[in-house]
Amino acid sequence: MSERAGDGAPQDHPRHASARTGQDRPRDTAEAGFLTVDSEQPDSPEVSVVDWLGQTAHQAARRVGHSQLPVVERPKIRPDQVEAMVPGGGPEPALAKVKEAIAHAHDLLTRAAHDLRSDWANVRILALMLLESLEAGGDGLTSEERRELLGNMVTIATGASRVLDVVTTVGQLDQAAAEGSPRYLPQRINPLELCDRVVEESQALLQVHNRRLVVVNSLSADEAIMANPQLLRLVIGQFVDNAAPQGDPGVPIELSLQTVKHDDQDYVRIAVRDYGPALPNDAWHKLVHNLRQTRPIPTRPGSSSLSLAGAKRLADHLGARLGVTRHHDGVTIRIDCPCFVGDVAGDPGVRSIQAAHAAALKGPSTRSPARRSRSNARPASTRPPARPASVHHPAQPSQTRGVRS
Amino acid sequence: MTVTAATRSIVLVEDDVWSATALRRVLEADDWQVNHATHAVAAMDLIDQVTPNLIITDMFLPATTAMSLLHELQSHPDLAAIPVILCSNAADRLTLDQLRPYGVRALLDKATMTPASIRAAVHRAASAA
Repeated sequence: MSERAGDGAPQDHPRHASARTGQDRPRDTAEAGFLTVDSEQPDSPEVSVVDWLGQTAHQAARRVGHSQLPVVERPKIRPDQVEAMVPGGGPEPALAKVKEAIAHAHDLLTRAAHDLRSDWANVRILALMLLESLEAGGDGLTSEERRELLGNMVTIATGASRVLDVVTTVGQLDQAAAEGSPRYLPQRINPLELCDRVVEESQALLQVHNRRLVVVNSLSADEAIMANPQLLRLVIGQFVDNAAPQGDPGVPIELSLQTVKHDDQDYVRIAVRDYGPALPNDAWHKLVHNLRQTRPIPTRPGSSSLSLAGAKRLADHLGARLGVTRHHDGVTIRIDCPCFVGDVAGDPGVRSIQAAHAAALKGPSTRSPARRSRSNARPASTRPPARPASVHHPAQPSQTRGVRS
Repeated sequence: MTVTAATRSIVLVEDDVWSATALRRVLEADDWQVNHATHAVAAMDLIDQVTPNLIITDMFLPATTAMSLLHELQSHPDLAAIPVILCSNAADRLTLDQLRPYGVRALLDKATMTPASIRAAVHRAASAA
């Protein structure tokens, strides 16, 4: 069957006719070289991308005056086959994954840009104040005030660097996922030592907000996490960054460590509790929705939501669970990582996590290592019994249970 | 929140500690008494206590936005006349015409404002009151 152009009669498109009759169909060269790839595939009743391209080519040929298109063999390709051609694609709907990843990256970059714009605006106005003072021959500001302004600028720049850290790390993880190359490998972590480091790094920010951070530890010394320390440190840092501005000056932030159970397996929960204003209902519902949808997560209207958006992305890569609790006087954000006890070398759960980590590189929606490792993680019965949290002096070693501020 | 009595007083509503620090320094150097609140609810308490000559507020605040505060101010005859300056990173997406019905007399873009432009905006808004 051929198709003539310009006869004025409604054309019964040959491809449509053959689809109805099941006869051999005409082909066109426009798509033949591009998509004639798998002649072994049986026809599918679904409308395929090739069909659409074919129709377009016919219409284009009519417009330029070709009365007849050459006939070539062109098998049908199902949409899922086309999606599988996308790099990083597979049996899952790859295009949807790519679109989601692009949307997510765009959201994260937008939030980061907002935060950085704010940081730069602050550095700029502080610099202008210093400049104005210098131009006035040192009038207006004492040397102590000038030193304080310079210190503020350093702290703001440090915060901006942390924002860039998150964006860069998420970008590197996405790149690693696209290339299928391992990066940020998991290792055994003492969670309390990691939290101590985060507290140390956050001191300047906490000081600025006149806030102290209280660490409440209920873990025993041999309870460990298998995760990448750099990623987990960034996540906890984002929790603290998010909590630091909330609440009245002097009100503490709590960082707690404890074990919890999911499906009969142990997880180490690291939670940061702020005592800021209560979340309005609409903000709460939006937060829960976004947490499920992997979208940016604002905890307060004043928050750019980068902190939790970044933390969510990093937690996805860690294979950890992110959670949030609304209180009448603040919010708790938490991350649950699989718990291991004692020497983890050779532990099948650890090997499972490492294998799952490699699998997770296929894309952000791949199931988490935590989920896969749960069946291999040490059951609660083999752990030493948990003791209640107690107070210990900041100078005490990190391995000690207790409360630190 | 800090309450002070003065002939020329400003309530500054700002949750960003750095912006608040910078604005406070500029304004105090210009002989204004600055009373600072970090969110809209605290700001209303503060405004009730000091009845300021001027209010400077950020747009995005914890728990609510400046629009709630502006609505609240407009609903009280004694507070509706207090001039407001909106100081925001989102100033480029707003116009003064949109905000005038809410008592806003000036719009400051945090990304481009200078100590001089802050002082000028404050003087203009206060003298127009």
